[in-house]
Amino acid sequence: MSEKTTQENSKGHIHPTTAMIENVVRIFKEMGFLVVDGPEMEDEWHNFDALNIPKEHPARDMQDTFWLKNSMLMRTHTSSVQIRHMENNKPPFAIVVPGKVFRNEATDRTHEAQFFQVEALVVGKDITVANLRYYLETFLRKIFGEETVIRLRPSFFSFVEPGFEVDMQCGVCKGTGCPTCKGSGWIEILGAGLVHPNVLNSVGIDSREWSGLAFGMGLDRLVMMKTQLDDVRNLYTGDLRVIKQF
Amino acid sequence: MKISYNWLQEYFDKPLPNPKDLADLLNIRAFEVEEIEEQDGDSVLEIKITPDRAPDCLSHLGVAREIAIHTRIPLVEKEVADTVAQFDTAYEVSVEDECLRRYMMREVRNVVVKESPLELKLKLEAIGQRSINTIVDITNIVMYEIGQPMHAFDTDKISGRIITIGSPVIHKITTLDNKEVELTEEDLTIQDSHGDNLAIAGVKGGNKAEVNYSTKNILLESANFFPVKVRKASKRTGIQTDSSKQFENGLSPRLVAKGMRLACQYIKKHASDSSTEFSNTIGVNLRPQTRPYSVGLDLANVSKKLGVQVSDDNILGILGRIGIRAHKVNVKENVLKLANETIGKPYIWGASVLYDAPHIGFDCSSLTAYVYSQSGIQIPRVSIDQCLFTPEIKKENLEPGDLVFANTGLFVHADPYYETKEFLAGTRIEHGVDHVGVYIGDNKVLHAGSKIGKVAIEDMDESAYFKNKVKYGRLAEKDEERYVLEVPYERLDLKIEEDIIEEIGRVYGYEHVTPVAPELNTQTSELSIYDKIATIKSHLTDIGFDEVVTYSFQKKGDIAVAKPLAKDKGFLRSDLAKGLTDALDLNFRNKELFAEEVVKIFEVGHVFVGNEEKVVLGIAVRSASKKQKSKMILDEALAYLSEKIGVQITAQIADNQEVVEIDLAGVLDGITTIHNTLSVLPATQYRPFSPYPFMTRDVAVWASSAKTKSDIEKIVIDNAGDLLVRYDLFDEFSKDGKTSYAYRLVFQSAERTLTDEEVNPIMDKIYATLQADSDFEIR
Repeated sequence: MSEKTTQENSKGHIHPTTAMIENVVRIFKEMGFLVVDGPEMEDEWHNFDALNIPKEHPARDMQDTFWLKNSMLMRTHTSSVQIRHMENNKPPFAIVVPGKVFRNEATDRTHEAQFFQVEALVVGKDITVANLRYYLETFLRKIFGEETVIRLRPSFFSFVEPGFEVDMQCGVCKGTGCPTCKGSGWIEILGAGLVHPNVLNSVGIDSREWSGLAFGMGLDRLVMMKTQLDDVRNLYTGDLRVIKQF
Repeated sequence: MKISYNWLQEYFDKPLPNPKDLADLLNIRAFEVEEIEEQDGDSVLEIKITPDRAPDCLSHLGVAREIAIHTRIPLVEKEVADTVAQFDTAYEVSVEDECLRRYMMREVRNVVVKESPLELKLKLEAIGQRSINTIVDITNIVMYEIGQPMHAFDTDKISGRIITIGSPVIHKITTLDNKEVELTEEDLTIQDSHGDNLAIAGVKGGNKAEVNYSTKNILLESANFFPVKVRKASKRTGIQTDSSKQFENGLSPRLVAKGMRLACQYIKKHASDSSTEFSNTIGVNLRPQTRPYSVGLDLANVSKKLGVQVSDDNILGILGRIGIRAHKVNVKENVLKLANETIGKPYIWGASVLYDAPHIGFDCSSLTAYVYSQSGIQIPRVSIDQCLFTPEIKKENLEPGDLVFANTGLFVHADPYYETKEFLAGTRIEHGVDHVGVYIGDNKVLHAGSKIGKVAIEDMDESAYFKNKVKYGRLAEKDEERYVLEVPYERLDLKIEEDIIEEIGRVYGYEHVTPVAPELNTQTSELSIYDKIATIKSHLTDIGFDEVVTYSFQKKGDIAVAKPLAKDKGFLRSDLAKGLTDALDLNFRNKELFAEEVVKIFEVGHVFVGNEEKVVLGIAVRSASKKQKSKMILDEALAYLSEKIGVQITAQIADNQEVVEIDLAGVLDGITTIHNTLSVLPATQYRPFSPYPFMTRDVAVWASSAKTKSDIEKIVIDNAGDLLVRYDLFDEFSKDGKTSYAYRLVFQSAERTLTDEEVNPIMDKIYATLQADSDFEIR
């Protein structure tokens, strides 16, 4: 019953998403990454064209993207910041980009029109899938514990080739299947891949000389996984009944 | 897509692994199996086909092919014989420009339209489709089997003999499900001679030529519409069908004829009698692909990209299983051989490497792109890009097979060829490039030029094209070898070497790739904006401010959203004040839940003012305290922050002002010391809050020196029950050996709004218990 009183704590609470970002960023800084940020309002080139997303790709449609009347758009991922970084910096580099992103989708307990993402990008010489696996394992083990087991499944994102969906073995059942992982033994956690040569070339980095890896994940879901928060919309109402719990 | 396990088994003589094992295999090697639905006598796999694989895998045959690759159980592809034509149709097909690659029709007379046999019904029902009649079911089965959408029209309901595919003349159609749909110029329809729309191309049929039980004669359609046309029409009309989904992602035009053959075969089997007759095939086949798409592969690159050693034999074995034919060539020998074969072919400006080479014609750079791509090295399409792409050599080192680039000066280019178009787009080439040829030795070049009208060999120094040579380049050394891979027609996703390496990687198995730390030297000492903002957040939380994140979309602002989610979210926020004020309202109502008199919050966020984006800090305070007004707290906070970050922040704050906003642009630059006390998110169990109002009660009691606070708290807790959500000691003083304790009790239910009738008896119990003890005295 003692948790019903709170000793007057003079220190304020940071937002759980900020705490999650800090968690992620610290791990990447230890691995030598620079934290980079950029605009939320973007042009079509940085958000789509440069990422090898074809002109007529369904993702550009109204239903997914918040187009603005000034012909700009709200970035649908933080990858646009990676493009800006690649345009203005010479490789090699390793960056991590946390930030708010926007999708024009109906909202529910697990979907919000605004949410946070973090993406990592490494451009260097002879970057391999083995390097990608190294970063993924290191990162996820630091977040979820040293015993974390991951797997790479083939998937498709136009800005990487090859592309992967990365799963973690379910921490609840250790892979045998339970309600948490819907019986599969695995939990989908992020998207990843080697940077598509078209992306490098479009920002003036010669893909024959340089190669890259990238991965990204939604932070709101991570917050929900770590805290059992039941409704993602509660993160954006400024409600201290939520924030003061963290 | 729903895939029936029984249907899959039809492609194999040997039994497949059980559905669960099959799903596990597909999951790690190909695509996500989202669900296995157990049905009576069948299992249905819900498979998420990624857009890149839609062209070859949105079908049972496609998934079966994938299974064959990974299980090594041989796929038995059934031969589909063509049905012999028994008469020439009187129908004609007319196609407007730029809407399709291939269109095919066959007239079938005296078809038997009836209830489908069980065999067809079971297939459709397994994957959640309704059986309609033999003909409609057959068109659907062909689509679910090989991925080619088909359609059938009742000819007795069609006006005239000319079928037109183009922009609609009449801007409406009543679809098969009797819905009136408005059409626009940009849509694409199938029209009869009267101009009536028989179908929205690739999307949905109209009811005018609907095939039903009274239908006798039909026109069967198999087509390859442009994906964009179908997608846009599907979007505009709001009609999405399995057919439109097939087209949207692109399909090989080769499937058109196969679909037609298969449909006719099924009609013969399930919907015909002795009077059924098939016509000849009519239609158009625009720019057919003349040869398989080819991709070059340097085997060494496979291990280099994957980071795991895969043997050559293994690579070639995997390619074979995927159906990719690989042959090894000496690059330059092959280039010269192919180049020689193109001599005399016509010059066509803008010729396509895929569709026009080698028979129809070339321009200068389609020729070089063709000979090199067919020899295992893919190069950019236009000459200036090829020039940048190709490493330079000295003239005296020229060998046959090298490239010679020139600025002819023969043409007035609207867009001077001084900047690359696609490869490292925008890179400037000083001397300009508008021509390229293949050096074949003896000072001669083989090239395609508009003024000579064909591919020809000329002396490099005499040709008008090569007067001004810009660069000599080499793409391969003399003995260099490459594999040239012929990609199966349906694999529209395999375009470049990386695509092939992904194929090898996933079939080989990514579980064999072990982590390797890259060698990178990217450490930086630069202070990031992130660190500086973390510093601001840390200082503010240090003095008791809570951080909030509010919505970027607001009712008012400077930049409007084209299609907002809701009326009150029509603009980008131009300040943080609105969101913060709402948050103050909300939290001030709940302040007793936190036992606070003052709500102190802040947000760091992007706002949009005019046409500019700014990063702003907003600090907001609402106070119920007479002693501490919001202005005072805000002033103190800014002073504290200024001192701590070493940057003077000044803001005029009015007496009753509750929110202050500071543009961080100037502030961040001045921060030179990082102070980061942000905590990382702990693994915690979130406790949902009650949506119902809470009630507060105060209790004050004199206690003798024999009693302590915890004696009172025990009585409170024991008597209050689950409705008590918190209690806080807010006053304490001693006099004459006694101590007075005053507690505030907060009651709230997770299920209902509390009433006095519920809370008063609880308080009575607490009072009664206290009063029963002579050491306590209620104040």
